[in-house]
Amino acid sequence: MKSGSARAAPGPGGRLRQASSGIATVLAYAAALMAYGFAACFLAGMAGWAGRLP
Amino acid sequence: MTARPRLDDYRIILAYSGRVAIGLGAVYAVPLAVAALEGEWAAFVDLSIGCSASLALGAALASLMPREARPGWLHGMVATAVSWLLAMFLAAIPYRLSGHYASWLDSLFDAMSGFTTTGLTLVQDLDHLSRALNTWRHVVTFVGGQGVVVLALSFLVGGSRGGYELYVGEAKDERLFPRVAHTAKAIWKISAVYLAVGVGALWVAGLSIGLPAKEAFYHGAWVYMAAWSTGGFAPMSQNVGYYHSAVYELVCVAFFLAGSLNFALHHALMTGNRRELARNAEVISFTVTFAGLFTLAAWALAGSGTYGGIATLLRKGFYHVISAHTTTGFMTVAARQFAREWTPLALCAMILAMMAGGSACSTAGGVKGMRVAMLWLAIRNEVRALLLPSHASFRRRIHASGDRDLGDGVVKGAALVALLYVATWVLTTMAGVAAGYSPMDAAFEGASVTGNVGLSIGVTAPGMPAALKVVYLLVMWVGRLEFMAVLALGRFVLSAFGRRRP
Repeated sequence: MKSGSARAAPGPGGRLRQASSGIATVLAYAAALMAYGFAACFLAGMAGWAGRLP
Repeated sequence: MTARPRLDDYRIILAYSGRVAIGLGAVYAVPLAVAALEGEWAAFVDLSIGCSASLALGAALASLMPREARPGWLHGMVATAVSWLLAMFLAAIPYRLSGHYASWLDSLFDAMSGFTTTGLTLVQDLDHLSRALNTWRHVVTFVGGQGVVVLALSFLVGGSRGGYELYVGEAKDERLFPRVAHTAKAIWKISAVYLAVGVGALWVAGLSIGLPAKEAFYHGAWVYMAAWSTGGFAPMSQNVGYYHSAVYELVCVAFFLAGSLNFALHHALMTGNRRELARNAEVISFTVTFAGLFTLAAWALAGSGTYGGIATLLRKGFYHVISAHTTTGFMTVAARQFAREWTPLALCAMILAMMAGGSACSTAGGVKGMRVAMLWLAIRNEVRALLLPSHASFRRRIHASGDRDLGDGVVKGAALVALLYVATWVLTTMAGVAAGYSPMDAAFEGASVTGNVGLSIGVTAPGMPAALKVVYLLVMWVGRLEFMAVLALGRFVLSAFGRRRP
């Protein structure tokens, strides 16, 4: 692409790829939050279990 | 329009509201098609009456538009507030006619709860609701998530003047394109893409837990519409707990989290700008507040031994905190389990999550991550200004789908809305206490109503006092429109009794 020229709009296939990539990014973010949730539950569970020991 | 309104002012406002009513009438086609397909003729008649009323009243009001209309900010704001009230009345007609609601007030409450994507419900015998009426409940919440005005802007108002004022009145200020009608259409396109993916994913999840194919499709469509809209309605009285499936719950989390993100962010991601997710101030704000509040809730629940294992803690604790923070309101426990099994500290974390809310210009409610980020940065800047030498300068910008100035006016606006949310929550809590509920129950339900969340601790029920139903209904409306449109309506009504314009 020449300097200063407008970026060409993607075709139908390109738009579909971009949309899929956008959704995949959001799903990856959701997965990262779930992974954090698991780690926090694990640590809280261990701490809670230790706290209830006689 | 500062003095007494003229006849043309009323006509412009009513005409815009009429266009929204016509849009709503067109949306009735979806549940009517379901009723016809399923042979639910009683529901078909009820829905036809609602549809006819919407189209007839809408056409009558839309014809009032003056030829030389010059709509301004106040027209747009007032028309938005009026449109939401009108939509509530028109959507409630089939509810009341169905016999599943004890009164008109309960029907109106459910319609407002749907449009505002709150998700609290006063329906009776939900498990035996017709498919058509269940579809209508979820279509209402789906339309409400995108915005009833966005619907009208997309198809009816088009390029006419006043569109941007209406759009802003509905608490949306992102312009994905220079023309607001194009922005409204882009919002619907993003939702349509997710609709296809979400219904498909939930259909497969439904099949995997043994639902028949047709039932899995209906449940998938209903639950998706409620999830994407961060609505919280579900087709069964046990809410998402009905499915008893971790997979179903995980798929729901993915789509209600997506629904709570800014449409401008979705647009950036879907046009190839994937890095925006990591740079966006709203996403960072949400991630930090969610991580903090969930850690607090998990620690409180684990310490009290409410849930025995780590897996149960994750499935119940994580699910409800993220449901609260995205203002979705899906539940997998009974309402009174919050009061009986969750500790006060865990409930406090839930209240804070519900108040913080999702992203601006999304389907979510609450104070919003953008304002939380703005206020945090403003406080940080103030502290820096105190500590650094007087000649030192630093960046006062925030990144959310582009860099924005973090000037005093912007911070003041964010602080004002946040303050109004907190004040409304306090007043709603006091109303709950005055109605005889415990302070914690009233505070929890108050946060759920103010933030348009839909999680219930057991206060919202058909038997609750009628006055509290009215308070909750109004607070849902005010909270969804982020105060300004309703305050503009209040000023308009007051000015109608003011001095006549010279």
